[in-house]
Amino acid sequence: MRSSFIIIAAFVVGVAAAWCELLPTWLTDGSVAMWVLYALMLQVGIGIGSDPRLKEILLSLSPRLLILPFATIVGTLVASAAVSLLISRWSVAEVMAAGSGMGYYSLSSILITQLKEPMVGAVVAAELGTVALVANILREMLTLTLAPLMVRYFSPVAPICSGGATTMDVTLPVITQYAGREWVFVAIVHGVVVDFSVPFLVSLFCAL
Amino acid sequence: MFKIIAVMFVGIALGYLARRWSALRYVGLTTMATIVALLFVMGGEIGGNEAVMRNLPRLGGDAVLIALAAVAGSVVAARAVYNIVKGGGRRAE
Repeated sequence: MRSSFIIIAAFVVGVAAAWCELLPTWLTDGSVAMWVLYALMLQVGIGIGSDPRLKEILLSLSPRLLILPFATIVGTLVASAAVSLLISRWSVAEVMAAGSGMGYYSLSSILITQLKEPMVGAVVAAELGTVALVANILREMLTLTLAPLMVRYFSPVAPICSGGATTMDVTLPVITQYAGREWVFVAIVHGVVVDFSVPFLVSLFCAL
Repeated sequence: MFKIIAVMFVGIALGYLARRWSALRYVGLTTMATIVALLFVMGGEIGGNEAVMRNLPRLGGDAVLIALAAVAGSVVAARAVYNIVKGGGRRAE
């Protein structure tokens, strides 16, 4: 609970500081975040490598775990279809296209903008692309900030499913931190599988 | 993306080699501090992104609904399959 609060606070302070132009541009152009992420992954690796349970964790991996990316995809698509009832601006398929970004915001927003343009025109396509961009950034942020609560109320695999395609990189550190190191390889495999599903699902729902 | 995983595997090798070094106890703490730093910088990226911040009032509501639905749908699905996968990621107890 407390760690969720600290993480959310760090994020909100970051947004506010940049919005008020208090941060230098070198800090917010993406390259610093990348280096911090590398530093994070190195530490996550060190934590796993020095874990006395490492061998046990590797031996416990089983093909049954492939049901997890499947759960992520089904859960996301069903919920996206359901929430489209509350959104009048976009069709069911359009909301599902945005939802199928699975947190992979760069690829999904570009794909949607490109694929929808011949059907709805450049402006509307760019708007749906922006919705997908923000929705998938938010998905990543919600996973990063709420991971401790997800583990507590929905099981250790909840932040893995919530993280979608990002569980092989950006959200991997919080997953290992809060779900436990035993889930790290599960999270990577999950991230890779969901990642590969994104271009197929987005194209499918853009075509409908 | 694969570079990030490669960095982690370098860390795993280093951690394994240095596993008897007592300072490694603190790696959980430094990881937490780095997560906080990452979220701050990522927040800064969003707050500094004109296109995202400008379109937020008009399109943000739809995006929030879709993000909340995606997260809710996946954590519920996660809970549903947890009993099937729990043997697979956990140490044998």
